[in-house]
Amino acid sequence: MKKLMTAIALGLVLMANSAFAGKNENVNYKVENAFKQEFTQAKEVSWEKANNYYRAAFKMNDEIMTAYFTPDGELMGVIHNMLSTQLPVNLQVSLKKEYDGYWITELFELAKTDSHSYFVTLHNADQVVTLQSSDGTTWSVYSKAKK
Amino acid sequence: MKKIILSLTLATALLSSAFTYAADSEPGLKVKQAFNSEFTQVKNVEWTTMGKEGVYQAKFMFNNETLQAFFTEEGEFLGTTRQISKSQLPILVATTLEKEYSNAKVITIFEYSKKDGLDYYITLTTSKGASVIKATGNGELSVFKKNADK
Repeated sequence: MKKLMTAIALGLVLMANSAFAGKNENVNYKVENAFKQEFTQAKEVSWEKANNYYRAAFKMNDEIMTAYFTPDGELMGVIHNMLSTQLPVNLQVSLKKEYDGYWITELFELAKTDSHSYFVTLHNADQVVTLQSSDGTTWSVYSKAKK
Repeated sequence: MKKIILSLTLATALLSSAFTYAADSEPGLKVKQAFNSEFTQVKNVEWTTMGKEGVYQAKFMFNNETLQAFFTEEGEFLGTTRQISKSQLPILVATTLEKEYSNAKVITIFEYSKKDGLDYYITLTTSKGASVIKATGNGELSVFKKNADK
């Protein structure tokens, strides 16, 4: 289940950078309804459509979010790209203690209907490390590669 | 059991202006060592003690934010608190809050990080009065206190 969650997370990030058909596409009723129920305070919503998914970019609490839906209106996940200072304190402290000398190239929160995780990608001169935290208190190594 | 009491004490303390702090209370070596082990490279720490619970509070700047860290007299790290904005809440907490308390005005939000978990305490007001809502990172909300002081 954990593997599936991370696979979805990374899949969604890849989708974020892949070619979508175009902005402000019409969405079907199921998807639009599901979006409105889930994100009641969403503003500045724009839709894009891929082969089998819909992607909504929107603002919530002044933060930019991206939500993914199946054509049946099922929420696949929400991604929030964030700053390191927006992480829970324990995760910030852990990064500072254990990855001093690394720099962050990517940091986002992935939420599904009943669970969420933080992912951070760190670089130093020799390697790239991706960490995951599902509990908001500790990191685990998701992947590590030499440059 | 002591941990539960301390945890509740901390949660109550961060929500109450009436909680008593004794200023300028320098902790012993064990507490200072525990602090330096948890928070490397932190300077200018302001120490206080909380009531009669034997808990030391360290107030300091970390990543340009004010944090409070709590330790027992024996140097056991209990957790940290900081005040945050709605934009710093996890997505599931923010969306659930907006669905369940759409007409409420959020007054303050505190993040309480412990070694074994993370909770959020959200003080909000509605036409019926003020409440403190406790939230887990996965968006489970429960009423921590009703008719709270704002």
